[in-house]
Amino acid sequence: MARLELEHVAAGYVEGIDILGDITLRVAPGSITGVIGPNGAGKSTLLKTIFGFLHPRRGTIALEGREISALAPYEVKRLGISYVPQGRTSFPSSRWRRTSSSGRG
Amino acid sequence: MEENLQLGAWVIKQDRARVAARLEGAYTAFPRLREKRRRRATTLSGGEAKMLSLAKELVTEPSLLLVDEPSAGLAPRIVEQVYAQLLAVREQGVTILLVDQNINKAVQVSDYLYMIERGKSGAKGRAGTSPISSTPSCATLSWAPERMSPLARRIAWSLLAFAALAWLPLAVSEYHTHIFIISLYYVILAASWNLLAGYAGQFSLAHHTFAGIGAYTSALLGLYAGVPILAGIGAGVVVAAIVGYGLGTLCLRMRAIYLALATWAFAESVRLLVAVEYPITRGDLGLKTSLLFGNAQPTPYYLLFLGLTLASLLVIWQIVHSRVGSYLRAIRDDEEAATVMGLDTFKWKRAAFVISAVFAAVAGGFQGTTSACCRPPR
Repeated sequence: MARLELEHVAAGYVEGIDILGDITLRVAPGSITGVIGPNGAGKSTLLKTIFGFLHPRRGTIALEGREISALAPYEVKRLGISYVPQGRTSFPSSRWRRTSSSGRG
Repeated sequence: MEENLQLGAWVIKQDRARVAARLEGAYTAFPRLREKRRRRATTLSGGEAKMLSLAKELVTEPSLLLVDEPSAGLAPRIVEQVYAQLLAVREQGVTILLVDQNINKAVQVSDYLYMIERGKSGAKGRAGTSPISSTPSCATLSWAPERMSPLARRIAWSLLAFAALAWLPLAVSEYHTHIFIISLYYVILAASWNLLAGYAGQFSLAHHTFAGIGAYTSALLGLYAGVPILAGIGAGVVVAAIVGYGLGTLCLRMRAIYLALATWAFAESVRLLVAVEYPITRGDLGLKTSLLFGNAQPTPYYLLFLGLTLASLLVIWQIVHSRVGSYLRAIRDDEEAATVMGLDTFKWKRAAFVISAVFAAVAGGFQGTTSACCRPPR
């Protein structure tokens, strides 16, 4: 079984405009699966839809056979999917260190 | 920088030894990050920041990693390293879905390729195996995390501060003691508002309203139902928590100025309600309350507020420096990135809202029984 399976997924940000029209793809376990395409093809939207930032209008997204398209991002994360978006996603870290598990006292 | 990794790990697992092992794994995979572990994340270069983003996700031990344009904006030499890392990650058994405009590199590293155009998946094929090879090593050094922070020491400091400030009413007039009481009341309000607005970044303008809810609930229950003062304050806190939960549910999906406006509207509505319903609340004249200690001699109230203030500061300090505190700061700094890390940001914002409302209601409840009168602000 594929680790991740998308069947005829359609999704978009605004009512009536589908950014993803009809996406079907399978990700085999232990593989790197690449998705390429020109600017604006919907590559980033695809990942956002899988991670639950967007919910598909049509179609299904299954993680190891389990339907996940209605889940919120934190629930998707809990199932073991991680998402590394474009650009920086780190927090500008602050002064305190004392209670961190690396702490020095 | 290291906090970023810890936050990543904390979201999923709370076992400190495990977190330490995962951090060590991340540093082994990304030696550059170990060198910079004490640096602020904002000082990292583009490539290092990308490694950090990747490492931050890997510490959560995902089975599927979604990667969006890992090479965007990076120098060619760094790009090589990033893709080498992706291959290393795959060797560790993690499945990767990579979205990329860098077609050459994507073709090189991918086992399977999809081409999408205008939202439709098109050609699909098996890609050649990649020329880059990289073997991850997972050395584990023994690295014992520190024990819990010394809470006892902070409690001792608070008691010391209490002892140092407790004699103050002896040195100043009753009038000035009253001023100190009011100041301490505002210290509690400010500290709890800081938890919500400063740490969680949720700029609420209804904080004083929760103090009012605490005060009026207690006063009205005492006046009309004969409920004892402390029980009334307890009830006020519960009411404030419930109202805070409801208001948070309604408002916390709004951002910045919209949240401020909505909470301000709520605060004004409550104020007007209290002013208009004067047969019950005595409106702007103020609602007389009974005094907690029977008379208006200020020293006992001063000691009460001094204790309350130090206890509040201690508890807020604990929250801010806990796991929850780092969630709140993460949400404030970048809500989208916090969501990406698996935080239910709405839930934590609402938790901050309820916690700060509870502190305000405690302060308000005691202030009501100290000043003998509740009155809406003009």
